[in-house]
Amino acid sequence: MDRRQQIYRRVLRRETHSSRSAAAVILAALLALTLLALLFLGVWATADVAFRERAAIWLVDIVGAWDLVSVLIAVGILALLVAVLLILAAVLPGRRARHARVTDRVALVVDDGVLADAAADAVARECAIDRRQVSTTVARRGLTVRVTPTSGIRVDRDRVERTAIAAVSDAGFVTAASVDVARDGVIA
Amino acid sequence: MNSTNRILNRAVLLIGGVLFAAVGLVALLWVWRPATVEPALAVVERSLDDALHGQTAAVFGSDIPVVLLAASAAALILAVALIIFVFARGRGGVHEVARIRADDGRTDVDRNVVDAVLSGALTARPDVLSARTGVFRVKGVRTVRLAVTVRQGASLGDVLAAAERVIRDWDSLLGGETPILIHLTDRGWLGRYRSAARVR
Repeated sequence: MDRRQQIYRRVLRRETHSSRSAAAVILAALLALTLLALLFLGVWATADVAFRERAAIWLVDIVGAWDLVSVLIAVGILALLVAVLLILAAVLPGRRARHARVTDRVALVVDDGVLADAAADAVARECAIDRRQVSTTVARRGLTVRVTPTSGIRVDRDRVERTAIAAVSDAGFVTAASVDVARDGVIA
Repeated sequence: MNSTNRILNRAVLLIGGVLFAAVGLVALLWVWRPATVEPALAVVERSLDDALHGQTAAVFGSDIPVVLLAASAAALILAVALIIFVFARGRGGVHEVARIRADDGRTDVDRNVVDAVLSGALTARPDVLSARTGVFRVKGVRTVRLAVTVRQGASLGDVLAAAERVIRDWDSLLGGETPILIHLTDRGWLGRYRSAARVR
């Protein structure tokens, strides 16, 4: 594998998987802010005896006013929910809804939404129906086309399938399509 | 495409998740199974008590336990490390798309040049809503990312063929081949309201 292919392989891997940077940055920023706030309060309490006494009274009042059992249950459940989300974010691959391939010259990444739009546009043109009567979903293994025909006009399922596949292969991706034609049409 | 260390991102998330899980479990066990938590908490309380009544140092005229000072220093170091982590995300972008060395000097090609050549040509097309470039260092090699947002109804094949044509123009202009990633991006929620046709 030459140098450029190695670069493309790395780039495509990174472009088709989430970096998890946003979640990691939010968590790190919150932890850093919490630590700095605690340090600031600690230094203030050490330097200012009056503040220390006021803070102690305030803390005793707060703890006395709250129902400790309810607070512990709420904190415990919330912390476990956050823990599950964080661990899943850390462990799951985070695959993005994109298709990728390498050509002779470039690496190519296409958002699944772009492929879905292209397929839906092509099907609407081919069947001479309004674009809003076609919806497509592109997944890793194939695409699904749902067509709501105009009342009284038959929609050829095979033609829809061929058109959708051709639209996606126009971008160089080979895929299978499943077509779902609604039983009831609409008045266009 | 940036050089953000993704393993570090996931490590931070995993450590955070384990910490939150520990806090959650201790809180719930304290309520529902106090007998399982209280011996451990008693040990922690005793060790903390011993540490707080150990050696002290004078700070701002108060005697502060050395353990507390050490914990504060550790917290400060951790906070600084986390801030560095936050600001180290998203690096890897470079200003020059190429650096050509000759016997009598060096020529740096700014990333605005590749943007003008690639994005400029593609944005002029009626089937392209927008095009923008970025230059990143991947495995030590300057690599161009060309993000193209296509107009609704555009033929992806035509847009890709046009992109490859302007890339060939760029190659001949530069006298070499820069690794290039083409990304056909979604229009986003705002783009859904744009017209399918461009009026000139």
